[in-house]
Amino acid sequence: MPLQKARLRISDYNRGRKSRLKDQEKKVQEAALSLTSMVDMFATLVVYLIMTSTSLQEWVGLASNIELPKGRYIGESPQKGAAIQVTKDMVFGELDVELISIAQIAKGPFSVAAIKDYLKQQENKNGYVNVVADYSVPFGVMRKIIASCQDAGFKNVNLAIEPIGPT
Amino acid sequence: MAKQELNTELNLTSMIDLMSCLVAFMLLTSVWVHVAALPAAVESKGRAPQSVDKPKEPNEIKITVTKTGVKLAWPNVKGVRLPAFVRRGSEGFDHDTLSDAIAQALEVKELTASVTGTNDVEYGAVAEAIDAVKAGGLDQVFLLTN
Repeated sequence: MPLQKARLRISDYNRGRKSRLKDQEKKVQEAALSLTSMVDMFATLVVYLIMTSTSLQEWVGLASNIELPKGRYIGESPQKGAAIQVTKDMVFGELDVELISIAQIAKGPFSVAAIKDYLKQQENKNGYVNVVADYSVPFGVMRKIIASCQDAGFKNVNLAIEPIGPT
Repeated sequence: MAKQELNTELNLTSMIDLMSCLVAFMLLTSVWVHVAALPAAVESKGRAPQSVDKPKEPNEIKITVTKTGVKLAWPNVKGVRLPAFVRRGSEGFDHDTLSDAIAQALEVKELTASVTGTNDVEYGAVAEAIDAVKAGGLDQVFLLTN
């Protein structure tokens, strides 16, 4: 009988091997993360950011230290075109092109040569100039700036405002 | 022999990396202040300064923004009681009163508006007056600079 016990068949050997492999498989724990919702969220966020960033930067840039007047009027966004940035103490052409100080405009003539010369170099689209000005700038100064825009051939203005409520 | 199972899991690692970089970049470069446009025609050259008391055109509302409030000179609009002055408080002037008055007047007569301000008043107050006029339904607004 002991002789019979020693005679293992190949199928017996395979069975033992299979059971060992199953035991090993049970020991390996799955640690996969479900990333589906995270990818969905990222995709939505990217689409939202692309849409908002293009609509915001479409028509005008905004200097960092300008507090815009608030308004409720919701019109169509104009085309990006010639723009004047007016902070509390300086007038800029583009965001980094200094033209003239507010104090100089206040003392100077009605038509401001620096603004006029700058705007004459810009493309005139439908006669509109985009004016991004700080709330607290005196209107006495603003009327000189706007009159200078007229002298440069820009007959109308788009005043930048910060919309109140839904846009 | 058992058929080997096909692994259908997508490797999303590089996509997530790209998305994360894109989101971070866009968040950093975004402008979070909304900017709307308030279009206005400008009148200055070739016209004499207008009197605050009397509109030049028969259908023109003359609006002058001062430190104390907004002066209004109306054309003849029959059957509607319209304010001649909208006082300015600590939080600016009352936009609703101005917008409502313009909306009422527009029901009776076609109008245009010209807006100006005194030299010492803030530009923002003038812009807000133009906004109130447009919010009342009047699109034809002129900004006077003379």
